[in-house]
Amino acid sequence: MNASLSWSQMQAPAMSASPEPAASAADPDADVLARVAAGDAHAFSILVDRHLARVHRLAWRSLGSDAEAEDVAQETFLRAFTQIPRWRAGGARFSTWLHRVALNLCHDRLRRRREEIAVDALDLVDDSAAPDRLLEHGQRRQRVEDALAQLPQRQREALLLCHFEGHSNAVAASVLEVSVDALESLLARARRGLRQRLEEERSSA
Amino acid sequence: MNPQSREQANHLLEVHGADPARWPVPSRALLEQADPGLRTQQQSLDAWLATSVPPPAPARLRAAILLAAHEAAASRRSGVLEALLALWQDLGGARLAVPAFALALALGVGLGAGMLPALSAPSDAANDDLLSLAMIDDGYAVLFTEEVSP
Repeated sequence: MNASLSWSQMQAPAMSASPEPAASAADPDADVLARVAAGDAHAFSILVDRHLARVHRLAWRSLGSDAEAEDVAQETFLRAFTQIPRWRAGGARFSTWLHRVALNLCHDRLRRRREEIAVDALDLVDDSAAPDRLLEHGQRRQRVEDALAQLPQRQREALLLCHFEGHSNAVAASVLEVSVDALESLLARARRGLRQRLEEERSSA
Repeated sequence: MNPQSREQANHLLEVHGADPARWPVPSRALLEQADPGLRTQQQSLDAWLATSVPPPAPARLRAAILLAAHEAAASRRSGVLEALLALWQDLGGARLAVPAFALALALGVGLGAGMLPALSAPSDAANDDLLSLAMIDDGYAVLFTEEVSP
């Protein structure tokens, strides 16, 4: 790989480089990245402490599985570790790149899952089957997770990045490699779809 | 009320929800102009979404990541040796080395055996020199007779 690649060029093969004006401002991780590249083992633990919670949450919400979220988080950081020596400032922020890798790994797992399990066989919560087993809060939470899982992938990712992770539109658009307008459209459609689900639940309650 | 502002506020409501903290700072003042019904709907949706709380990343995950990175660093250090070994294997390893050594040995022996007579036999030039000396000195004539015409 070219020694002068930036993060935006070091993505997984499925991702293509794109200009990211809003995300390429001074990277708050730049100093730590330089230390990791120089062989400072402690510096990598700083990066893990800074980003692990977010990467894990993102993977968990994307996949809905503790074990798979942990696998994705570990693989994401391991990829980062092996790429850091080739890192050069000037491209996307490290956190943006990290979230892209995590989402790509989630895509791969979701794709494999779709291939393995027929949609009809998905084990969604059946409220009528065991209405007394779940507490009300847990039940609502499960419904939210189900509703999120049923959103189209890009809409779900836009919502995860902006609503749950609090990324700005510009950063989220950069992670998803779309324009800010397209991101806003994804967000609006995602919320509309969820609202519809919520209203359906109310009317059926 | 400006209809354009209301339309923009409703759009922002649909994109970001009813919590002004999620709105872009310059647009937050528009929230008051949004449709109250839509605002209530979005508040309900925000409350619904707030019930989704993922578990925290377990401490063992952090340890596993750091261990994996440590192992990757160790394997990177031995990468040069591994690359040479891989090259050796790619070239056939011991299976190629034995015939290559045998071929080199055979070539060496063959070339050596072929060149030995040429090196040991007196050349024509040396015989000419001896003839010239024999014509001058009888001592050399005896030597020439022994060397060239035994």
